[in-house]
Amino acid sequence: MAIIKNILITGGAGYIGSHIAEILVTNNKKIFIIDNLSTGFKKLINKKASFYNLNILTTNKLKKIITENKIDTVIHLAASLSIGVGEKYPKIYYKNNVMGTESLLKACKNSLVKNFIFSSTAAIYKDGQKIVNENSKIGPKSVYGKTKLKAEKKIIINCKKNKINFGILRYFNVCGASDSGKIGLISKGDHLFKNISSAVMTKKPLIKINGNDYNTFDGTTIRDYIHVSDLADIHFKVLQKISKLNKSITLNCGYGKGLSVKQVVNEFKKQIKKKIKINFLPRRSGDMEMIIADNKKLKKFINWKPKYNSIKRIVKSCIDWEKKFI
Amino acid sequence: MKKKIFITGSSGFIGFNLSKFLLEDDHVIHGYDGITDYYDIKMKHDRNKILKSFKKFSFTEGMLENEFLLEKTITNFKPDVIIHLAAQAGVRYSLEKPKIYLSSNINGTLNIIEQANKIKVSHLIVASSSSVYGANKKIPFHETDKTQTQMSIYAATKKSTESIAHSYSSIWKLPITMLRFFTVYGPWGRPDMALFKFTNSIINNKPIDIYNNGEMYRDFTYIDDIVKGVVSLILVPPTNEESIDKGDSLSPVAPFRIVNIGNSNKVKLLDFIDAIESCLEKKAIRNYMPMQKGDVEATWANTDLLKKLTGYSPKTNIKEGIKSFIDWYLSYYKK
Repeated sequence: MAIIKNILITGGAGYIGSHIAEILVTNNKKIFIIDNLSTGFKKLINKKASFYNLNILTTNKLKKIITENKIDTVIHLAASLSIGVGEKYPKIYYKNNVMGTESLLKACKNSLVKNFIFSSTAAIYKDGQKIVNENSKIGPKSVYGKTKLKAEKKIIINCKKNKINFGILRYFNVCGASDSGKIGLISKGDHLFKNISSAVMTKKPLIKINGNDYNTFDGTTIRDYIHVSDLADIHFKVLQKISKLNKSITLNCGYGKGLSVKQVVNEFKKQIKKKIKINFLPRRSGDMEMIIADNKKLKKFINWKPKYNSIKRIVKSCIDWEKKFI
Repeated sequence: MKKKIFITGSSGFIGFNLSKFLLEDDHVIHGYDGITDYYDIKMKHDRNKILKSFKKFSFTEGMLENEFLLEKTITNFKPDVIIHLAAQAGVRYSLEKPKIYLSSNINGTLNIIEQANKIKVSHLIVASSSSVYGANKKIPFHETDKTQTQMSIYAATKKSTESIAHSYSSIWKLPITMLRFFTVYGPWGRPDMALFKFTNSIINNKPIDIYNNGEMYRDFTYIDDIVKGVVSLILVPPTNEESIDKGDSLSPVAPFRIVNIGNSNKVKLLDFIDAIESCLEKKAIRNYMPMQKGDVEATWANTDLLKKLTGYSPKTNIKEGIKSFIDWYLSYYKK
């Protein structure tokens, strides 16, 4: 078992990356961040990290950073991540997510890198399965999901060849913000918690919900949400474990519990004590009805006990973070 | 003392901003511009409209190649100083249409030099470009560095005008200053330039092309700094009796000098984009591309000479400069 010392995080200026950096720094790891700030933000970059404003397609520069800093562990999060934009510009998504991953893997070849963690997604599963485990049917609907699946495959092949332990983490819906109050989600997009949080800061909150005619108990879609601090902690624990056991693994990262869009909105309503107007829109193409993680494998592998898995706590952390913007 | 100044390219990006600055300082300006359709001529007309609101501004629409019109206009106006900024711009377009560049930039500049010489102006100022440094590896660029590796037709024509101007200056003792501008940006900027294209695409949710995967460095120079640099140089015509300081590009045989005007800062393209995104509070859709033909990886000006000659050195940082551009862009297009 090799000691984990110098960790490179691609996409470390992003929402999830900044939370992982925070945990690693607390645990006295030396971290290096590569981010081209395409979705990340300078203010989310951990003060103790060495930062490179760089695109991961530049293999030679990556190689230099990995060699010079004796990187032993890579956490690869850098990606284009909007489902909508991906549908419109598939080539760009393919280049950034698949070729970007290839470039990084190439840079890790013949280096000291021993562990490789990758951020994958629940979007690679075939629709209509409701509860999925790691062996459930694969069949991404979106371009984004397809590029992540391709990247997974490249990682498995390359890491096996180069004797690198890999941990592929399939994220479910990530939400919430760190208790430190320093980091959280900045970009608005198709993120439910972010959109509600910023809406409820306005005088007359209005929320648009896509579809209330799904075959679920209240008609809105159901997702498995996971607090970003729990997710970041999973990265650290999985990393230690794969390094210790010299093993590679693919894991679902979710609480194994579903919440409907309406349930989430209601929790916000309760906490901010304001009326929230809801506009129901037609279904959005590409949306799954319901997807929940079977997380038995994760629980067993790292003996995982989530800390932030109450909707109350998640919503509160979202509101606290959002208040910083007004 | 108020001067009579003839400015070519007065409807262009730099020419307009320079003319306006000089008019506000009460100089008498005659503008000369071909209003070509290389980019949206509406913008050129809009710039011109603003200049025409000044009493001391007069204007002739004409091409540099039109010797007859040029001679007539300059003879009638009798300027003290000529500032020649008109040119076919654009590195990328020069790969497609090289002949336009030869005719406009080389023949056109020759015509200007001949007229300037005929009426013996006290100072002829001619725009060159940082692109003449081409593939030079040693940065920052000094005016006295060798410039033998131009990477585009555009750069090659600019280098040629430097040589032609030098020969005229040495034969006829005509005081000429050549200005090497470094990546100029700001309000009223050209639509084919990076800042304009990026801003426009980000606002309209269109992808932006980023060449060489973002591994590019430019000495981005704010338009007001360029204008102030040019204006301060008007009063410093080269004379070949001066003793030459170390680092001065003054010719040993002619009243001829080359001066860099740049911010003297090397900014990574990805940081420039990040500053645009922060200002717009919106992220771009990024399309990373390989290096373009004719492009250079880095430009970076040493501006000690400008400082020594005029006491002036540019200082606007990209954050302020980008903000001014975006404020202008939004009000011009009323988004």
